[in-house]
Amino acid sequence: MIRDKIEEYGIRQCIDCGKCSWACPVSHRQNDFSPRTVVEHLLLYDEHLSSREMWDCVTCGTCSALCNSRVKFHEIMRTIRKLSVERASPMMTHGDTFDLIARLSSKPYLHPKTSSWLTSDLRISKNSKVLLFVGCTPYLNIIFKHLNIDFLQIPRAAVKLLNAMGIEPNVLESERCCGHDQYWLGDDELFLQLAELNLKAIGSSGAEEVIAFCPECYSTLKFVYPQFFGPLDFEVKNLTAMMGDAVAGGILTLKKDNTLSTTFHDPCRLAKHSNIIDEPRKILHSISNFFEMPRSGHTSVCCGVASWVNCDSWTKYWQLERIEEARATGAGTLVTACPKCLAHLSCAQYEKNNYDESYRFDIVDIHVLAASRMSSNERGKAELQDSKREKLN
Amino acid sequence: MRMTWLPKIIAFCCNWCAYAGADTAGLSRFQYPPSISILRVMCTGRIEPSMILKCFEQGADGVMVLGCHPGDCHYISGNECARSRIETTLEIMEILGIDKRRLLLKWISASEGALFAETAKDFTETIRSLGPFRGESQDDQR
Ligand code: SF4
Ligand code: SF4
Ligand code: SF4
Repeated sequence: MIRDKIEEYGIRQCIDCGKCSWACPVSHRQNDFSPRTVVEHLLLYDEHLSSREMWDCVTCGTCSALCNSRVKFHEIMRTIRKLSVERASPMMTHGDTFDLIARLSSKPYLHPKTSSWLTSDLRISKNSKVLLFVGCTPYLNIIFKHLNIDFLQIPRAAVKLLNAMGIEPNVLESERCCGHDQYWLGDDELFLQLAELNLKAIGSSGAEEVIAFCPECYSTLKFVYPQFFGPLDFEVKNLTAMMGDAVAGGILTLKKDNTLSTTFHDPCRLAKHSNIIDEPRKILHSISNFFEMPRSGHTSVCCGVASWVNCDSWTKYWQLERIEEARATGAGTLVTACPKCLAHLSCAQYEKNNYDESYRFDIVDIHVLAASRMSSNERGKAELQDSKREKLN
Repeated sequence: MRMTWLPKIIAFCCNWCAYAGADTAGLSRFQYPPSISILRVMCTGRIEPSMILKCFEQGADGVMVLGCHPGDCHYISGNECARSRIETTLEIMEILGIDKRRLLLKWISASEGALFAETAKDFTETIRSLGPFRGESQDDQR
């Protein structure tokens, strides 16, 4: 029961300072939600939260990242959901489509075709010890057609960047959802089904290293899978972090465009769950004039929707506020590193654009942007090898 | 064995055309297989990809979406909406590895009872030849 978890997540260490509620993006908008109050409530009364309290939190982890007493507040939120799943279910957006995709992709008799985005110019190798994990990006490309974003450019850019770093990755023929959403919704049963199928597929691919460009896939594989299955047989890496290191180490050279000015929206799963903050900035400094938003790094705000729960007018408001914040820095392009952040922020912009021109603003994925700035040298190398291969064929 | 297997098929019918078409089929005593379970919706434009995915998730072997002919929609363009949403659903099914022949979109008017019965028969045969959804192997798919 939740009482037993109070020690585990450090709830008793709370010193009632209120830092969490000061930083929580939900508290900024909704006066009746505050992590500190929930903590108090758990300590003093009982374990029952109202369903509003339970589902309002976006599990972004800002509270936990800032708490000096190491209270793992977002983890306790998840546990409450897990233990209360029967009692209250969340309001899912898009009519449950994403949950159903996860459910169907957990069926062992189906074999999802998640690598159909591959094109002939991308160098992959079936014997590679390095595996690129793609996640649900191909589904986003279908469902968010109206946003006019080519989401498939993201995995393609990922392969191009890896190629430029001298890596020819393998890609699973049949990948399941990583289970991120199910884990944070407290649906352990479905999460485990998905994780087991993925681990089996990764195991039989012989991969020693799994690279994810999506922060959700990364944090789930890296931190959540070991909670259930113990130490994994492979290492999990995030592409954004790898790129940042490669740029700093001179392995990857990106060309600077002086006319390009950028600012960075930190995805919660990257900055707060995984503490990857400097690396994307290294990349952006090397290709553009970089401007920081007031709320960045550990104090950045969520894109508004996590696990496809609670998309409402509050959410839209805070997304537009975020876009305004980005514009106010003077940057011309808002960069993010998570396909879902890209979808949610572009969605708010799309709806607003129908009425208000002033929200026209470039929002792009960092991998796609970086791939377009690969120095001609890198591209030359890639093309040279291409032409060599053509000659061989 | 195959001949006796009765697939589970969900047919979403719009209130104004296809549902009335099914009625006409009944009134005219046209025979069609008992594999079809009809769900009436006011308009096919109401059908979301998730409703179709849910059918498969719950074990349906096939899904039909039946509405008014283009230009005849009671709500003017609901069937056009349906067409684009079915397209989206087919794309999702393709990645998930669900055979696209398991989903059918067709226009049937209130007077076309015979067409309704024929569609039900043909679709049941298609699903029979594909076999149960849960038994699908990778090779069966296109
Ligand atoms: S930041 Fe930590 S110590 Fe401060 S109120 Fe929140 S949970 Fe308690
Ligand atoms: S995880 Fe995020 S949304 Fe939830 S209480 Fe903490 S700061 Fe607020
Ligand atoms: S912000 Fe847009 S894309 Fe995100 S959940 Fe809401 S409606 Fe969907």
